Amino acid sequence: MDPNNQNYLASLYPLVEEKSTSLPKRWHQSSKNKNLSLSNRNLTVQYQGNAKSKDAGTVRADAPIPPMCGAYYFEIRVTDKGKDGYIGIGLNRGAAFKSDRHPGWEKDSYGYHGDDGNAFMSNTMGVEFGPKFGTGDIVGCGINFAERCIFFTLNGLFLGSGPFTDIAPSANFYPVVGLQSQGETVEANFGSEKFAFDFPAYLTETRDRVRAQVARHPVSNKHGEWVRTVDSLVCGLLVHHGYSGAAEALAKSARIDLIEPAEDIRSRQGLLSLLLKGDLDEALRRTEELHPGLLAANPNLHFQLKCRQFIELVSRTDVSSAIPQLAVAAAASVSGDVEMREEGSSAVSKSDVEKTTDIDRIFQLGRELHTLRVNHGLDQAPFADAISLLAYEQPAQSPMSHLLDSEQREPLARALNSAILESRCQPSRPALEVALSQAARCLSALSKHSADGSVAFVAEGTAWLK
Amino acid sequence: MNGFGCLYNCSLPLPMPVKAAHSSSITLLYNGSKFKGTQKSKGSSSDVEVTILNASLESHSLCGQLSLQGPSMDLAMTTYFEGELVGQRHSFLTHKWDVDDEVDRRHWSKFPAFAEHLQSAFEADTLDYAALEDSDFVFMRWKERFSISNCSASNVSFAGFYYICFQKSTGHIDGYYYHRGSEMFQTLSLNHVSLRSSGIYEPM
Repeated sequence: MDPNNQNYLASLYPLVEEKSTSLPKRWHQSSKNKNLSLSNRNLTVQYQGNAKSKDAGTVRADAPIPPMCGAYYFEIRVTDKGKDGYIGIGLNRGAAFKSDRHPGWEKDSYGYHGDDGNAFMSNTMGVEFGPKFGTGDIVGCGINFAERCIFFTLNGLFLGSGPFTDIAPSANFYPVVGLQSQGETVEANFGSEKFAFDFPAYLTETRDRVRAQVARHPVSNKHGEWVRTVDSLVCGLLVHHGYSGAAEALAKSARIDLIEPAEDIRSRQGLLSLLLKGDLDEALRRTEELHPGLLAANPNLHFQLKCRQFIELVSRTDVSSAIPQLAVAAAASVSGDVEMREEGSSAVSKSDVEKTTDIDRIFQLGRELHTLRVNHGLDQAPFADAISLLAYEQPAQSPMSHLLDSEQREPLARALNSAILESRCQPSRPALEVALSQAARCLSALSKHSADGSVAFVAEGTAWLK
Repeated sequence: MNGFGCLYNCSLPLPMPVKAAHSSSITLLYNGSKFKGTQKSKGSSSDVEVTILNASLESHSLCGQLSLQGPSMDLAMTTYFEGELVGQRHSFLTHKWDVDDEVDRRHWSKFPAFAEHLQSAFEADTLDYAALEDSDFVFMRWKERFSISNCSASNVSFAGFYYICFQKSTGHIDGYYYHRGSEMFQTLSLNHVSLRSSGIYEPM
């Protein structure tokens, strides 16, 4: 690992994707006041001006604060309070600003000044807020999008929000700093280093408060219907995945009805476990027996199951001795050349008597697959992949060996499960899954289109929903 | 002299664990083996400790834990890594992890052991792997897979990997960390820690 490569910002704001949204990183060179000079890769600001200049000089950060931070924070260290220590830190709403006005004086500007310790809320008149600050002090400014407030800290101590409450959320807030006398110098920390104030703890506390609010949201629970709804959702999930015993037990204790009769669940589960074990022959036979017409109604599924049957058969059979003939037959099957096929299969049955039945079976399956594919106009690719296994003496060592993985059976089992449920007019997806899907979509839409950062505190840690 | 007195006074070095029968040499890359040292970049140094969890020299792989502490006090992180030994199964050419042959050449060439014997073979790609197995050196690549420690405040990047040269006779490990986004040629230097007992037991 690289100890010099720490991504502190990513851990603070996990929902902000650096690729699409930038965070403030430095002071913005081109819009700064002419009396200011930037150095140290645009992190340090100094008031230079000439001896006569009396104007304030403000500079803003290079990017606005994304509300998806939930809450954002930055600090400045006063390395030199210069002649008068007339330093202000705060936030401006909007990229355009009057660069000779201190933070807080103009409309949509909020600031905390070091010479008098006052807070300025879009007004040149300040109100008492906190201590004065000067050389050596570390002053921090943060904005909490979820709770709509701006707060300040001094040397690691939380000063609170004072008058800065009920701030309308916006995606347009910029960190700003203002200086006014010779020699004043401040250095910014936009998160590339650890803060003096325990901001991660502040984030955690805010997250807890927002989540508690969500938990307290009133839900109708007349006659215990909320509890019953949750029980039904869980029961539906168990039924879908075939856990008949657990579903029955839950249905009994929660006094709800099973949406599918227990024997049906069990038979479906038995069928799927055959598939997962790789016994496709038996699985297909039983599917046809228990659910006649299901495979005919789902030709794509039928085709995939038969391809799998073919693959399982090939992996069970030692085809090495019959390779040349099989390869010919395989090529013929794919291209549909009847003559070549007949020649291939007859050549084999002459040469190797013991293995005839298995290899015959492979041919028969190959023919069935080909017919099925042609009749329904299905995609050639799964068939071609399966057939290509025949080209190798050691299929398990070939580039197609991944087809032999038992994991490949799982998506088929899921598809068969859904098809059976649908054919019985049961939901093909468990209700719980649909609900979670809906929740994920909501969170995603909210985070894209809303400046209300509360979503950030709720959405975090729910990446699994997707 | 009382025979019993010897038992309390002597500090016998532990006999080296014997590896599988067909392994041509006994090495210090056994399960539970620990190495300690430093990782240095320009201007800073961190303490590193590596524990080999499972070494399977026959399948040319091993896995273990890498703990790094420093350079500042509050940075301490442990990752799980997987190592591949250069030999029959893995060539000197990495061919993955965003690395091209030039990067491989530049890093392997920094090990004196490599430069002496094998430079020409690397270029011609007809390396004598049997000779490599018999030599005093084992070349490896170690790739960190995930973090084990609970380090919430910082998020140290382990997206790269280490080029490793291990000397069997001395138990010393030299390495270079590579990642295109990181400072080049951060060095790893570790020495085997001889222990009286191992924390990892293998059923025989």
